[in-house]
Amino acid sequence: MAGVEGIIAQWLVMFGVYAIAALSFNIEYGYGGIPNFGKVMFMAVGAFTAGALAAWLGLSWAAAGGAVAASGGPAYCTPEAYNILSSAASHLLSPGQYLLIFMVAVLAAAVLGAVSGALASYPTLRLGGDFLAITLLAIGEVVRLVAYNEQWPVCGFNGLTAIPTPLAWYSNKSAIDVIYAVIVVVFALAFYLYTEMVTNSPWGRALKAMRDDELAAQVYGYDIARLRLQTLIVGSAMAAVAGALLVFYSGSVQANTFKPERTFEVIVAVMLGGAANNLGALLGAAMVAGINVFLNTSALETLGISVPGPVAAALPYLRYVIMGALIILVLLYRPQGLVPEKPVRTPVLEVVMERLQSLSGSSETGSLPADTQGRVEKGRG
Amino acid sequence: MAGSAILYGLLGAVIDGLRAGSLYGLMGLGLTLIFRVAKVPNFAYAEYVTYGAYAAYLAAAASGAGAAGLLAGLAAALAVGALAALVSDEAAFKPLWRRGATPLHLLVASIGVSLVLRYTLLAVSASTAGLLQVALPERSSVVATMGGIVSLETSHLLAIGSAVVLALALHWLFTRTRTGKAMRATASNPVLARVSGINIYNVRRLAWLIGGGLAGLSGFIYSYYYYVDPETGWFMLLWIFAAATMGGFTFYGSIISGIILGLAEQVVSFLANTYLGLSTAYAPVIALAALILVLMYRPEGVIRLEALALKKRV
Repeated sequence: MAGVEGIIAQWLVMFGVYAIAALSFNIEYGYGGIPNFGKVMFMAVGAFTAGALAAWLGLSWAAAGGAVAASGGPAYCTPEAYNILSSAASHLLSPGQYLLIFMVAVLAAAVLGAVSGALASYPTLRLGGDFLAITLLAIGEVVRLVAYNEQWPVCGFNGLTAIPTPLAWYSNKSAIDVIYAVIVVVFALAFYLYTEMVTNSPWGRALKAMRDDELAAQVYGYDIARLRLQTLIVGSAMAAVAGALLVFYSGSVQANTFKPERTFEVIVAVMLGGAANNLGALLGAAMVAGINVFLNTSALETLGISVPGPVAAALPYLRYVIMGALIILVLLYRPQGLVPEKPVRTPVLEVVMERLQSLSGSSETGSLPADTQGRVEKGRG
Repeated sequence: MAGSAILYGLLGAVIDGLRAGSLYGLMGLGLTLIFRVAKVPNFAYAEYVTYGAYAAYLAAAASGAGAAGLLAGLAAALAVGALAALVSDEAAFKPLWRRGATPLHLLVASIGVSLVLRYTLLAVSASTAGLLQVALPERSSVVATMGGIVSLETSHLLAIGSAVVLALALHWLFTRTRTGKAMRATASNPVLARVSGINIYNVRRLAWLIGGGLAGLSGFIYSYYYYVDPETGWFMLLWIFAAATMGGFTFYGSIISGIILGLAEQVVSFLANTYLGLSTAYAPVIALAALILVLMYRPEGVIRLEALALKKRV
């Protein structure tokens, strides 16, 4: 864990998680104009689902059920469950079982995320703009408060710590973080390609139409309610996967990880990178993850930078000061973001081929298509 | 005996609910004023409360105990709250508003301002000894007790009294004075107001100053009977929004909704704790549920006394 590669791995994991969340926020807000300020709620749904399911599966396979007595909560909340799943785990489960748990948990997170997204589309039928944002934010807080005060599903304020991480069986402990980081980045890139495909499709154009002028989109025959439902299902499933991936990295689920600040971080990533531009979302996520990971006393000391006492005490709070300042500065001086919006292009294949070519050629930012230069996003009515 | 204990507990919950509710309403007043004149759904508002409380503590600690400390604290809270509000408008909201930002963009900007203010305070208080939790040195004192359990304190009187007086004062300002007329004109149509010779920038500035001052005052009262930490305001933000939206962004409505919410918080969580064994940690869910339901089903507010009064006058 320690060492420079541990920090790089942490940054990659956080990048992947924020990238998936930012891409989903981009579909909803950047393309669809739905300010889903409850983003953290869907990440939490994914994290709670994945964590509880993984702990339950791991425990019932390892202890063959019934070995751990529950006392006023799920059995996986007990210290015995933690001991079984953390230290002795490598003897009790096979590598295949660990990987199966991981895959099942991530899949279940995506499904439950989609369901919660479908439920959350109800307020979007009645509200828009700032009121919708506040409503979703408040619903997310209710979810967090309930999870924090109830034993079910994630052991209340103690948090769920008995998570069988997918690579726990691997003997080279120092390589686990790096391998897992690669897995997360692969997930993020897959979601990036998927987001590019769906947003550069007729569906993506419909979303932009809905964002720019809802009435006109309705006149042209788009079913706004259905579009919003689809957007929130896709976006929430993605956010839930991001939450689940975070759980299998940290090996625990704490309800208080999912405070509204997370949502704001995702918003910073998207606004900084540029709304309605998926490459921008990746860029913003990389920067937000960097601020989060490297502005940390232990990380700085590992990198060979010593931190004096008072600064070390203030450092954990500094990253949110920076993010708040970034929100204001971006809104004031570069509302279109670092990478501005570009027109939707179809057919999809053309775009994907071009992307693959540019990936195999040079990976510099200069490989952006020429027609996007100097194109400024129009103001949102 | 158990029955009378519950009765006293209930009475205490009602009194404390009135105090908390008056405070939510008082904070809602400033939020309402800013929302109506400047059209900013201001998430940074709660930070003005925290800053006011901290300013009150620092000033009171510097000028000693007794009434002098309280007065110094009050003055500092008013000044710092108003100043924080004015600075955040000049630095962030006014430039955005002049570029025609939507309410959603202003909301996002206010989240940015709120993060900067709150985490700066957190960073400072974390690296300075004795600042993580503060309270006024002169504490709220008991005026009358009942059965040795329920006690009426000076802070109850202060909170309820200032809420009522300031709601009346703001209503008077908004409906009976030239300045209030200018504020209402700016709120409903800034361009037309400007053409009619109103200096809308001055009007805006005044609204931010009064709104921030109200936040500072609430912070002062809060730190008179509670301990304050850098996140105190943030924890109350959704209560403040709930009070203001339930009140339909009117002054009387804000106070009445705030009191209803405060009573609901204390009384319902007391009853749920006594009879159902439900944790009092669920109290914030009441405000959140109220906020969600009001925004979804009656976004124009539940209690809109002032709008009625205005309609009658026209």
